[in-house]
This record gives sequence, structure tokens and C-alpha cells, in this order.
Amino acid sequence: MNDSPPIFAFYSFKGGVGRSMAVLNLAYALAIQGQNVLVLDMDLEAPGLSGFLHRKKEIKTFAPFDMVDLVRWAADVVTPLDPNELPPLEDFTVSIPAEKIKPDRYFFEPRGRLDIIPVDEGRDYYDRLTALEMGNLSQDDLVRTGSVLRVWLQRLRVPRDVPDYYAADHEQDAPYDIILIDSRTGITETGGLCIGPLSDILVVLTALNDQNVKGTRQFLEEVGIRETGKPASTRSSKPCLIVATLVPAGEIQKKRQRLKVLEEELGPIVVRLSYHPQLALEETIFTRDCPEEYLTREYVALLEQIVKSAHGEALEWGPWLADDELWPRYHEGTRALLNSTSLAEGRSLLEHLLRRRESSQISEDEDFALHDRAFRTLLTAEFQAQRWRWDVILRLANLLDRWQQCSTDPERRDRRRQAELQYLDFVIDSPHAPAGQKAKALINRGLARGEAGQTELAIADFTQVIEMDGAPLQRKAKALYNRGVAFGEARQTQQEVDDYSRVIAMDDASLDLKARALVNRGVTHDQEGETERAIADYSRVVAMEDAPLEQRFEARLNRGWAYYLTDRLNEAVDDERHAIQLNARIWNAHANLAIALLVLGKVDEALACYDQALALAKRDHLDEIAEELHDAAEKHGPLKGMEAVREKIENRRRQLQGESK
Amino acid sequence: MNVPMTDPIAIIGFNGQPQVECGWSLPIAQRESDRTQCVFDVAEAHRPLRWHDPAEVEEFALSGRWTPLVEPLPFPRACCSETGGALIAQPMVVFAARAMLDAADEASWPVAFQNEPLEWRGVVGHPQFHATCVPAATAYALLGHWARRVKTRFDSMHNKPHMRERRLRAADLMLCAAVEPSLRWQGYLRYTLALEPEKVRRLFDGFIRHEFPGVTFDGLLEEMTKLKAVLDSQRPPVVASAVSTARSKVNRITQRPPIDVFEPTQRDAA
Repeated sequence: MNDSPPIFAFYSFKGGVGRSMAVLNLAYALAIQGQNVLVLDMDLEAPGLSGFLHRKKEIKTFAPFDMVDLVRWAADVVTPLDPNELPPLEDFTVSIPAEKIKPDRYFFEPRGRLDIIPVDEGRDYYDRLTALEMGNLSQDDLVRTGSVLRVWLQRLRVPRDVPDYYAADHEQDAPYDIILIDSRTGITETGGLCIGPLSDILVVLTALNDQNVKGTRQFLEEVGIRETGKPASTRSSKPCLIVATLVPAGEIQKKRQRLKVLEEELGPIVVRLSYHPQLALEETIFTRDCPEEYLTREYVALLEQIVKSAHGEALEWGPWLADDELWPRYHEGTRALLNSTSLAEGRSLLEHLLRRRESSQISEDEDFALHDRAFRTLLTAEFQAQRWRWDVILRLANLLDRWQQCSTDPERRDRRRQAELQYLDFVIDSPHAPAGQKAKALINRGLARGEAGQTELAIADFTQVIEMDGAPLQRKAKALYNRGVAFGEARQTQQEVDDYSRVIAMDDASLDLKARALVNRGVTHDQEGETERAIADYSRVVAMEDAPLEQRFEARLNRGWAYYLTDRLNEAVDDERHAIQLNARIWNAHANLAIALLVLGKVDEALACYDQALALAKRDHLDEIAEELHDAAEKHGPLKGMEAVREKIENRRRQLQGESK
Repeated sequence: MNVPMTDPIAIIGFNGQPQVECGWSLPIAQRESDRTQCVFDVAEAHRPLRWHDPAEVEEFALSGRWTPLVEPLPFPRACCSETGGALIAQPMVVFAARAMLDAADEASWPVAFQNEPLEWRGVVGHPQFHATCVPAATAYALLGHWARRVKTRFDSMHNKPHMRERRLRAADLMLCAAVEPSLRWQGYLRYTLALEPEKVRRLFDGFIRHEFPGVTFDGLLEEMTKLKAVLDSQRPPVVASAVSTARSKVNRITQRPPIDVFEPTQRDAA
């Protein structure tokens, strides 16, 4: 994939058509979206863009060198270039402060960067401009100078807005996302420099009057965009977007005629920018300061055309989404679509792509960071398109939850947890979030708080869901279940049992949740010495044929153990055998079966089961197995085969010690 | 010279203050071992370096005797023998304002000169100035190089009457940079050509007579006349050739692909 930023040259044959303001409005709109944008004021002889930014205090000062100096360097530098001796970016650029780009940024919105290489009219401007002697440059010189500037621009790297929860070694800088050049009007050497090899795509702005249209047509023919005498639709070597500007409002017949002429002469118009009376009085950054104005919508339409022409290939990812061969190119596709989210199509494709990957499938830092960026970019783009995507926020919070679980660095883990909570708080505290999404966020926050040992706060979150008007009953059931677990953690047994009982009695609770509640209530009864009530709960789950396998396993395992403790050894053996059939990889099912068989005197079978249990057991489990053996001997007297079991336990202990060394 | 270099040292300023747009001066060196500082003047082998403690140094800087740099410069490697054990050349600090750079047609602070890498640092209290440290011979040559470039610039403006102020400024800057006597003489001649005639005598009495005692006022006038004749005979600078207009230069330029500027071209090879 080509990582170089696309370079757009904005040209108009005549001045006063709103070219510089179009460049600035697009630049701000892109930076507001979180893109890193560089603008070059190459209208060297009449640098209106630089003057506007300086007068409006968008930039406070100039860099040591400016666009005139940069062109001078590119024209004079000896080739072949030494890649290590290219002049540093900061010598030429001025950054628009972040608070001027988007004063009221949400925390999740990626911070865009807007840098300008202006013309400093205050510093020996005329001397430096004269010394450029653009008139002395031949076409070969212009091509060479443009090529030098192009490689310089392509190699620039700027800091990326990276959240503090990314890995310490995450890439901190990247090329600009897009470069916009404000070109000189008329037919000049400076204009030739802009539209030659320096730029990738030409954006030609023209008003509807005859002078503009005829002059632009002639220009396009001379520079090789249009073939003389051929239809305007003939494809050219360099992509060229035609923008009609100063289009008057209303359905005027003359306007329709002129638009038709323009299309016949120049080709299809991609966007019409209306005449706006305010521009006659004061230049305005509509895309930042007047989002509701009709001209802003037109600038956004132009921005979409710009993005489409630069990243159109990303939209070709549609067919891949249904393709089995998606996975080898999944990351490439995600990165490609990140630059297309200002298009509804791009957002939709990115969302589909992200839906194909569950957070649980992600385990590498780089992969997490890509998904985090993709979710935030999608969220920002949707938000800027006036759509709140609470589901995307919650998926992003889930991603961060998973990321913190996979973290080995405690500081990063903590930051990822904090970021997750920030997103959940955002949904919970928002007056706009629907009750269902709030309930989901509260449950997730309760789980996160529970994991952090903040049991009281977790109980408060679950209670809020249970008492919330309008929360879906299934969510309430989930909150009740989780509050039951939290009460259990807090040793508030009665409340725990009550919550599980409410879940079990709810029509809207899922079978899975009911089975879990029954198993948990059984365990609590068991711990309280109410074995028969525990067995009754486990039995209900055993009888639920559609209950998830995990719950049926737990029920069999626990009921078997309850039978063993109450000396119903044959029932115990039967349940543990069933449990092993459901999941043979759990050590204590084998161990429970083994002790029951040993007490029944089926020594050979018991020893075989112990072999299975010990093979799966970890060091801590060996103590439990030995303890149960000891308790059984105390209750039933010396058991046949006990010594052999003890020897097996010790052998396994030695084996594990050897492995750990 | 061959003075042994026992301690690592850095250049942290220069002697005196920048009074004009460019110049050279003895460096202020700092020993890394005890952070004492001195005016690094080793041209006179018999005069030992005098190292000062931080209190004295602060006083020198406050009184304007020394000018500190924003960040230290490394000691120029070319001043030491190849093994690094002995000092073989006197280092000098070259300082210049951005205006000098513009006048000398340098697009940015040069990264090398005569195969000598140049590192530039800001100058405390003088935001327009940058400074570098190089062997004295390189400093002398760099200043001469700039003076010659300003001289060329002056000469190119000779036939442009509306540029008299700029010519005067260029001649002034040329005199700031020129150290070599012949260049300084050329600088004075150009300055007098750009000056209002009634001010020439005052310049001669105030400056030229002291710097060039063998020159009389009439002699100066004669040299001025000769130089003017030479400059007058120059063809006016070419702005654009008659056959190569902007229109012809942009012809089909959008169809020209970028050239690989990291590879030598035929023109470069030539």
C-alpha cells in the first residue's frame, strides 16, 4: 500500500473565485475529522492565504523560513539529493493551534493537525521573491524543482495523536494524511510548478462567466489535461476535479445555461460552490465557524470528492468483506478505510469490517491499537455526520476491556481500564443515550468495578439497571444475576440468593442466565449446608436439555460432589461420569469420580481416574486432592489403595517441581 | 600549535557581543570535568588558557563580555589531530543574523562548508542570530564566501535604479562578512557607489582612510569610476528568454512524471 500522502493542487485561471478559501475550508474540515493536513501557500506573488491566517491570528508567527525559501532550496539544491540532508520540516511550517481547529473536542476524537507553509511578506519578501527568478526556470527546471519538493513532502513525518494507553513502543509519528497546495492563478512558472510532477490531483475552480470558462479551457489544453478539439470528457493523464464557484442562488435560466457551457467546455462538475454574500465582506472558515451554513455543506461535498479521488480504491473493499480470503488482508483493508470515513460508504464498509472481528480474537498490541483507532475514527465520523453511535462506543469499551486483560505492563493495563471506564461513563452520563445502551454500559462498568474489588460500587451500578425505567428486561435479568454474584463476593448470602431467585423466576431471562443462576444458587446453598436444596437446584439444570453445556457440566460436577458428601456414592459416580462426558479436560471431575470409586472399593478404576486427574492438575490442586483423601480416610477408615494414591500425588508433585526448574 | 587536549570540552558561547549582522569571534569553551570556562585562544602558545569558575562566568555574561549560546556546540573535530589527542587548529565561532543568510542567497543555515560539517545554535538574547564553531581557516573562508555572494547580488542590482536602498544594504552586509582586505576594499567601493555622493567624503574620513592608509580620496574616486564603468557594461539580468514564455514552459507539464531526484541525471553528471 502506498503510504505517501496525496498531494492536491488547487488552481484557478482567474483570481477572486474563492480558491484560497476553499483550500482553507477543506483543510480545517479535514483536521476537524482528525486528519493531519499540510497546506502550502504557493501563490507566491499574491499570498492571500498566509495574510488571512496572520491577520485573523490563526497563526501568531512565522517559521524561520517560508514557502519562498523552500522553493528556492528546491530550485537550487544539487541532485542527486542526499536523503539525510533534507531540510527539517519545522524550519518552514507553522501549526494552527489545536484549540483553533476544534475548540470543543470530545475525548475520543483523534486530534487533527493543520500545518501551513506560508509566505512571510514581512521579511525581505520582494528581495527573496526576485532572487527566485522563476522566469529563468525552464520546463525541465520546473519538473526537477517539483520533483524535489514532492519527495521532500512525501518524506515528512509529524507526531500522531496517540492515546497514553498505547504500547510505549507504538509508532509515534507518521506522514501527513493529505497535502493541499494553493496555486498561482493565470499561466505562470509558479502555477506550472504546482500542477506539474509536484501534485497528484488537480482541483480546478472556476466561476461561470465566459472569461473564466474560456481561460480555464485554454489552460487545461495547454498543460495537457484536455486534448485540443476533443470532448471535455476525454480521460487525461492527471486526475482533475472541476469545481464551479460563485454559483448564484435560485433557479435562473442564465445560470443553467452557463453551467451547461461549463460542463461542455471543461467536463463534469463534481461540486458547485455557491456565492455567499458574507465572503464579499469577510473571508470565513465556514467549516469550523458556521457548520449550519449551506456553503459548509458544499465544502463538505467537495471534501468527499477529494477523499474519493484520493482513497477511492479503499471503497473497492466491499467484495472482500464477504470473501473467505479476507483475513490475510484484513489489516490492510482496515487501514485503507481509515482515510475514507468522511464518505458514508467508507464508514459503512469499515463498520462491516470491524464487525467481522470479535474483541476476543485480538491479542496483539498492534492489532488492538489498529482497532482502537478504527473505532475512534468511525465514531468521530459518525458523530460529525450527526449520528451518535452508542453501540460503537460500547464495542470500543469492550475492546479496551479485552486489551487491559491482555496487558502485561501494569501501568498500561491501568490506563486501558481508565479509558474503558471513560467511555462507559460517557454513555451512562449522557442525557441522549437510550436506556438499553445505558443499561449495557452500567452492567459493564459494574463488572469492571467488581474485577477491581469495588464491590459496593459494582452493586450500585447493577441496582441502577434493575431500577431503571425503560431498561430491557433481559438487561435487568443480567444485572440481577451479576448483582447476585457481587453480593456473594460481599458475603451477603441472603441478597445473593434472592437475586438468583428473581432471575430464575423471570420469564425474560435467557435459559443460559437461568442455568447460571441455578448453579450459583446451588453452590451458595451448598456452602450454607443446605445440601438438599443445592441438589434440587443442580437437578433443575441437569434436566434442562437446552441449557449450555458449561452449565450442565457444572451442575453434574457439583451435584456429584453433593451426593458424595451425603454418601450417595453410586449417584455421585454417575454424575461425575456424565460431567466427564461433557468436558473431560477439567481435573476435579476426574478427582471427584476417583475418590467416590475409592470409597466404593473399586481401586483399579479409582487409580485410573486419579491418573487422569493428576495429569490435568496443577500444583495447588494436588493439595486439594490429598486433603480429600485424608478426609475420606477419617470418615470411612483406611481405604484400600490409599498409599498408591499418595505415591502418585507425590510423584506428580516432583514432576511439576522438575518442570518449574 | 599541537597543544595536548586532555579534557573533553564543549563550546558554550563566544567572546564579545554581535554588533553587526555577522562576524567571527573566539569561542568560550567549557571543560566537562569541572565545568570551568575560558576564552579558547590557543593561537599564542606561550599564553596559557585562563579557566574561570561559574561565578566569574556569570558576571562576564551579564556584563556582555561573553555571549552564551542557547545550546552548546561540539568542539570542532577538524581542530584536533586524527587521533584526537592534540589541538592542531584554533577554533573560531562564526555568528550571523538571518538577514545575512538571505543576502548571501542561502536558503537555510548551511549544513556543510568545504567538506566541514556545520552545526548551528541559537544565540541567547539575539533571536535573529545563529552561530557555529569551525577551524579559524574555515571561518575565514566561510565569511569570504558569503561576502562574495553578497557582492554578486550587489552587482546584479547595479542596473536597477529603484534598488539603491537594497544595494546599500547589500554593501553594508558585504562589509560585515568580509575579513580579507581585498574583499573589504571591494565592499567599500560598492558602499560608496550606493551612497549619496555627499556622504562619500565622510565615509572616507571616518573609515576607509584608517583601514587603507595608502589610499587618497582622489584615488578612491578613481577606483569608484572604474568599478561603475565595469558594472554599467554588464548586461541587464535575464528575466525570461524571448522564446521561452511561461505559456510554453507549462505546455503539457501535467503529463511530465516526477524524476528520481535521488539518482544522478545526465545534467548532474555533466
